[in-house]
Amino acid sequence: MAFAAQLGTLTEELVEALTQSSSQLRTAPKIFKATCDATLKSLRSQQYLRTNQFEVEHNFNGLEERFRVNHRDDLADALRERVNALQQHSSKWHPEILLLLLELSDQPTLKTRLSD
Amino acid sequence: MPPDTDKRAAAQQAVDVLHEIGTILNCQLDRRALSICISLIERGVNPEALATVVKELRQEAQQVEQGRQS
Repeated sequence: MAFAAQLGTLTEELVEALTQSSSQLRTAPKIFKATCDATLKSLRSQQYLRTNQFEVEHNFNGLEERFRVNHRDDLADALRERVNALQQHSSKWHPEILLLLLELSDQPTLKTRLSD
Repeated sequence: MPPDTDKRAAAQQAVDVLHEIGTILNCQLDRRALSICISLIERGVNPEALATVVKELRQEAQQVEQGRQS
């Protein structure tokens, strides 16, 4: 029960964090609750096996190579440096978190500005 | 530093590094949203399902906002 409650609270926080720009979603409790319920249902309904850490590593190596091919050595170097730094803080969940970041990645070669 | 403080500092550093990786990949996740996502993953949520949900929520927020403005 505590686990379910924790998941519910985190889901509400996620909805709140991602819809901050939408004043209507935040000020209409019914819409907000319906969105939280639907989100929680989606998250709960999908079971999975653990992420393959070697596949994630392979994807990051491929991404680094793609940056270099596209003359974004700055991004490739920055990415390599962070991936190496992350290995000093090992956690069993890092492959899953890195997979999430890969899934949310949006055309970094074109859009990322390191100065930001 | 007591061990708990050490652990917390190490966890914060790991989140900092993950946030920087997210910035390099242009994930558009701020530190708060990333921390929530990490907590959800640590509770067994499927990362691919979470990514789908994040995209849907962004889209929904955008649609609601556009509807309000028009």
